[in-house]
Amino acid sequence: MGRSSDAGGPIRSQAGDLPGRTGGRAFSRNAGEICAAVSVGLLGLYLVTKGIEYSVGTFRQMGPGFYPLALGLILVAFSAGLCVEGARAEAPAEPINWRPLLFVVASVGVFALVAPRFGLIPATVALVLLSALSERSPSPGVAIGTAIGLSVAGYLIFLYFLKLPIAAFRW
Amino acid sequence: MDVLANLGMGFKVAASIDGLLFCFIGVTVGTLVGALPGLGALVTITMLLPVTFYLDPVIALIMLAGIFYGAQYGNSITSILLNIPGTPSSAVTCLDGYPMAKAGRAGQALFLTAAASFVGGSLAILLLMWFAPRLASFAMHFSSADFFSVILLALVAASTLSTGSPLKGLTMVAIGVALGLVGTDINSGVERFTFGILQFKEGLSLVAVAMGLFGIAEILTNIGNAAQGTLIQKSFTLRSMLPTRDDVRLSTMPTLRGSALGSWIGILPGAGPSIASFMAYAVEKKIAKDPSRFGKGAVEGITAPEASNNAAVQAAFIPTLGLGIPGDAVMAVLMGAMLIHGITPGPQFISSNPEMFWGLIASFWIGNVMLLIINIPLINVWTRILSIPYHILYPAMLFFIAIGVYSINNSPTDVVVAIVFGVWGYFMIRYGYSGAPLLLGMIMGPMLEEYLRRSLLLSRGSFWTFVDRPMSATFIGLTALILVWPLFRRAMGGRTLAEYFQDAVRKLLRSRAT
Repeated sequence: MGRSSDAGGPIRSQAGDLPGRTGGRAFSRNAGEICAAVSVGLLGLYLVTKGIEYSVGTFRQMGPGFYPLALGLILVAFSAGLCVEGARAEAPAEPINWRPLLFVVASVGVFALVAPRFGLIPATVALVLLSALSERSPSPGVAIGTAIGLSVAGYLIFLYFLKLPIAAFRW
Repeated sequence: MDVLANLGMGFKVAASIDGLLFCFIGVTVGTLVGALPGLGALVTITMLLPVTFYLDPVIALIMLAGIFYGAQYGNSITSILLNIPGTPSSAVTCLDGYPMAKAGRAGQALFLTAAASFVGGSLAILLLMWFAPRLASFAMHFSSADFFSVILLALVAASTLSTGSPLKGLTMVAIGVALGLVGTDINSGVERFTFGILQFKEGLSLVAVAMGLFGIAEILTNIGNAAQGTLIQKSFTLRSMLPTRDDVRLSTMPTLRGSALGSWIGILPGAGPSIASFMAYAVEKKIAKDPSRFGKGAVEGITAPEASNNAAVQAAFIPTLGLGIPGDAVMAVLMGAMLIHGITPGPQFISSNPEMFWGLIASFWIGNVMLLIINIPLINVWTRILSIPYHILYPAMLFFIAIGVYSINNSPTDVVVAIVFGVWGYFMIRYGYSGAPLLLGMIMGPMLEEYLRRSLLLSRGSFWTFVDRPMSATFIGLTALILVWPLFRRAMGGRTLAEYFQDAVRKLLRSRAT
């Protein structure tokens, strides 16, 4: 499987090249990947329809819809190729981590809700505590410690040093 | 000489208090981020982008660039001490670095890699100083069609060379370009894909997308799997780090070869430090008198790749500053930073902003020297920091992501965008899609459209304009070659370069387990 950004993250250790659950057909084990391929095609179709709506113009004078139309067609073509690739590919080794997904999303989302209404510090605390819940066995001590530490660091860096226009506390 | 005068001007900027301070911050953060598996230069640069709004543009670029090349110094630390690469480009350093550490030579390995990194970076800076201005003046004669073709080449190359499946890479580029469409079309004033949301009128926030795709998605991917280990050795004395005379003798040519190789690879869009380090290792192994020494602690096996990856990273500035074409996602983000500060990248960049170009170059020199100092005497500081467990690290990362995105416009919408892309990115990464091409596409997409429009306008709707001119025809030809090559290789039963590379990395990781 591909890696995330080259200059960015680490290499995930792979458990090994599992051939996929035996007994399942290629289709069901790669359902996720084929879904991804199909969604690309759907996006392409969306671009095509919108492109036509935005008026394509002529070759000589591109309208706002020209580029979206071209892109959409390209994406649809890619999606076909991707479906073929998807059917032949191996399944990802690790299962989906639903718990971290939920809590990480919640923690950032809550931050965005709390910060304007209650200020930076409460938002930080909420974020840290919620994200700690995404671990299989969260340790409250570490979480609270990190929350305090980040609140202090955040206050110093962003409010004192950089003077961002965000309130620390707002009741 | 002209160059000396320019350098003098550059040093005046870079050696100012602000310049020195932020260069230091940049390279230090870079080393840290490169050393810590789980963080990357890309995420960090994106996280600090909003912070740079309050800085002078040159200073901002100095700092962000420092993070980029600094990361290539720090990434060898965990490779040697933990057998875990800090960034993918130091994966090959594990092969001979870790055995050296097991044999008690960790300090010397660290010294040699730092020195090799310095040589690699320096040689690439020389190339940058000589080549970039020439490239820029050459490109001044480019027509719109030439620009379109070269940007297309860069996008195709970047998406097919490094990621696993070329088709998936191309798809991500296309999606990125599509995302770049969001906003008001300059030419017609029509709002495209804004869904009536006010914040989207100016387009999707690059920082929000990048933070989500690289920050949040990365955290989601790593939370269950973060590799931790115990460092082989935690404290080092300076004397124990000095290499033996044999070491120096054996490393000289590999370092120089690695630097040369890395410099040229770095110029190519799409080929980055990972390919550079890998190829340097392969070359050294091929031409070694006794290849069996590799994998057991051969100094050539760590100095050549480290010189190469630093050279590649420094040389990546050549197309970025000289042409305005980013070779990979990090360069694209740096260009995004330039755009935010009101600087237009492109061939005219060097001639219209000489103090910025030469200021950056001067800062590269300063930065590389700082890094040499940081990575040798201060190694003990890093080993302490590397002991921070992941479950303290990722809330901190989430915090920086959240506040970074929020603070751009004090708008929750941006945060929602980041979350959406974080979740989407997580799933895409699972299925083998890489985020870097998308970012490239998003940044270059609008430019691509603009050049397409102008070319077609000038040629009165004829597509032949793209092959009529020699430069454009060359670029289109190369693009076609890159697209066709994987199919050709596969039909002949071989594997694509990317697959070969991926396989080798996978084998490396599996062999670590023994």
